[in-house]
Amino acid sequence: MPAPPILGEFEHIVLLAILRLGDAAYGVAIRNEIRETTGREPAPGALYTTIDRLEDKGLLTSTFGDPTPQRGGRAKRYVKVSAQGLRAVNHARQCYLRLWDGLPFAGVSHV
Amino acid sequence: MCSARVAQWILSQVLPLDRAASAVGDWLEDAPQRGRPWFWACVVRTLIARTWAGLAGRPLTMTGWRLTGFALNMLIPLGTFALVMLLIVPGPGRGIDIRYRDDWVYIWVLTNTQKDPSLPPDFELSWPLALVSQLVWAARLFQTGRWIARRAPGREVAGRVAIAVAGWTAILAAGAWQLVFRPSVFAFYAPSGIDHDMILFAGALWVRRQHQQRTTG
Repeated sequence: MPAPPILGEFEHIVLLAILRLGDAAYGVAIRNEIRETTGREPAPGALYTTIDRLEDKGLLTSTFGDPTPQRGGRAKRYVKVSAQGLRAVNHARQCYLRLWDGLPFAGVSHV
Repeated sequence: MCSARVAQWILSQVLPLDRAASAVGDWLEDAPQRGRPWFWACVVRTLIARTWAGLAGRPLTMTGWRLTGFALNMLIPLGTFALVMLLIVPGPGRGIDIRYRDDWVYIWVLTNTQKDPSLPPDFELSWPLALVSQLVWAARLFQTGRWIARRAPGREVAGRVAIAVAGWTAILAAGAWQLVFRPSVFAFYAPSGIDHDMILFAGALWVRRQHQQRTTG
């Protein structure tokens, strides 16, 4: 099996936010999730570009929901992390844990 | 909402139609709370981010398009205008001042303004010839934009921006050279470049529209 792709920091954040949202992951929800968990609002250009790039890499899949009047008759684009995306996120998590292991920072949990 | 349709059209130049619509729909959800400036800031920032992604994703290819588009815009008008001047313009037109014949800046001015300041002051192109000259100029720019856009499917805007960057770089460099080494009346005729870019852009948008019609059926 080929090695999972290396994720950039923001790609990692976006994938984790999508995993946390489950089936309700679309642009607005992803943006709000990232803002609430990291305290930082992602730039709209960066968020949509990253989602498209992740889908092009095969780490995400997307489907379109039904259009709603609130959105001017435009459908939501729901995204889900693919199996390859899950492997990439897990790989990144293992890398981070190995890097953090043994670092002498007081009060930091290495779980 | 008319502005939402405009925003969707703008984004559809750098995104597939369905994704552009979905992104605009996302921003419409928050627009009542955040306001119209926020909505348009999202549109502009996404447009810039996607265009830059198109340029940066294939830097060598985009450099090639920059040079190709620039060369086409230099060589085609040189050839067509030289042909017009040699075949149609009588005696005075042939007697272009030899001092300027090898001047790169002079050639640039001539092909972009269709006016030769070295000719006698009472010499003017007849209006039909001037009109034909302008139509040919606009048509070849439009075709150049189409030609480049057809070779960069999905990146039509990025390719067009690459050519604009090359063109403006050349214009600014030529202007700086004029100011430093040849401060003269030619500086007055330095072309703006904006009219070139708009017509080239129209050619790229035409190809983009055809591509979208083919993919959506």
